[in-house]
Amino acid sequence: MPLLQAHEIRRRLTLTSQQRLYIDPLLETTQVGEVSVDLRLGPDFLVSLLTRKPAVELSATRRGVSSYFRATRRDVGQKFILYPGQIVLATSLEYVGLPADVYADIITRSSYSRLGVQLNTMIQPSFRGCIPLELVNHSNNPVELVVGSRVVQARLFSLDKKSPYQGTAVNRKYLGNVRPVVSRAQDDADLATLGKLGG
Amino acid sequence: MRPRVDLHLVANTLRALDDSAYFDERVHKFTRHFIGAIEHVLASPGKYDDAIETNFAYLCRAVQSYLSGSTNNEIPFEVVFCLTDALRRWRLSDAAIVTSLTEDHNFHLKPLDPWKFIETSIADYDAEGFQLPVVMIGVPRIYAHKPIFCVPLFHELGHFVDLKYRVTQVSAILNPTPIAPAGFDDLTYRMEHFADLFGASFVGRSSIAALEAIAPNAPASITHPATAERAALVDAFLAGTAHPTIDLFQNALAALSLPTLTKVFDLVDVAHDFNDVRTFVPSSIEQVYGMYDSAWAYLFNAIDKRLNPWQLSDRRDGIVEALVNDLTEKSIRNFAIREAWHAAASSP
Repeated sequence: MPLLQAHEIRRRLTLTSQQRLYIDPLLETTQVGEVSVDLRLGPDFLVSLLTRKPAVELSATRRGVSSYFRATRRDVGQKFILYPGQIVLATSLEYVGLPADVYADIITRSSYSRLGVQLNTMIQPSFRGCIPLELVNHSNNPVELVVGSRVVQARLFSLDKKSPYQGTAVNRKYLGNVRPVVSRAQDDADLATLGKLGG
Repeated sequence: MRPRVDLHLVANTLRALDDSAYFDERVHKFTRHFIGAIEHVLASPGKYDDAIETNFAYLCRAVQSYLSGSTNNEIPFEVVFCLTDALRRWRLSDAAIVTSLTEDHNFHLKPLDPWKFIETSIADYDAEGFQLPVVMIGVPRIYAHKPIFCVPLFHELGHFVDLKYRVTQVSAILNPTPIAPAGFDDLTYRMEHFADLFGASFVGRSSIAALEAIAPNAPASITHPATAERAALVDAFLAGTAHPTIDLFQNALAALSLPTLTKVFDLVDVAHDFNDVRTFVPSSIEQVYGMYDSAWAYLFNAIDKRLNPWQLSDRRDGIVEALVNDLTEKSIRNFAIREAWHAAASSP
């Protein structure tokens, strides 16, 4: 699984074939680094709330997961405060299309890791949409983020075989999302089986 | 309730709203000045006629709902971005668009000018030179993030432009021969036709296709021409076919030294990009307008023919609708971001 380097990333950005890497908007060419692409913080947020419930439940009788979050929006250039211990669902500013032979690891840029903002997620080959960013501030201090700033980077890895995202038997949960969405863990089919085991 | 009680309540709500964020800073100033005008009236019991206080309270309640729907969290940003450009093309850049998210399924324009009322009826309120015409438009809440379904807003904006410049009234003076059947309201017929043409000039046939979807086969009424008649006029306009009703509006616009009705949009085809679940990248605002028509045709073709170019294993109309509207919304949003970025990057 070779890591894509700058020249290959730039080459794929110019393609129109299925090997194309699609990023819209790519506001600055300098977002492409030697072995990664910087991605910017998008304008939509789902902010976690404290509720009366003791836990987020994934059972059939649960209170909906979305009720633990509140939506808010900012304009590009405006600030968003990430509080210690708080989970905030956001997305990349960029709409991304991965080729069928490339997957991506999304990690916080070093500058933001040092502030306590952590993120580590994997994006499937052939993904389409704004990259989901599950932001958590692990430091003691609130951190001010600017919408549109380069918060994360994508490391892109090529695969030997193509791996279609859309055409799989199980419908993908997050195809084409342009704003953050809450977890749909409750839709995992094996939870029903596990529920029978757990009684 | 009683007008002065309502004014108290509205002022409190507006103060809370002013703590929210608006994308358009002018709306903040409007809110603060509006609160100032309310406080001015409340500070002087008996100074104004009951009728003025009653009308002002009604106006304030209306303004409150439009300001509530215009916060960052509520406003349909992408559509308002386009409507704001449309206003600029009609030399109305000084106006701000405010949106009320409604629970019904109708789009509307509230034909009120709040600031004008303050200037004329509460004339001793010192606004320190502040002035802001607002375009008060109603958007069904379920369509707030559905730009394709918001094409009727261009028709509503046409009404605003008409009211602002009195285009249809001038047309009736210049060409008094009625275009409505005998016994029907000729002026409202002209207003509807003008707004239809205005909408079509920006978003093409999607504007009238929306009417055909909402009110198919609607017959002529006292105030509105039949849907088929309205569609035929728009089709003639888009085809460049001469039509006396179009001519009478163009004559009025020329007499008012205003832009004439011309196609603003550039034809585009979103299919190639949307089939691959990618955003469309317009190269100009004219192409952004063209996206509405293309995306409308794309969406309903996919629904009607049960197409599935995305290879969705669970292809439901609701999923298709969300996918296409989201791609359209993000395509517009990205265009706006690129414009703002390049403007900021190139400014000193």
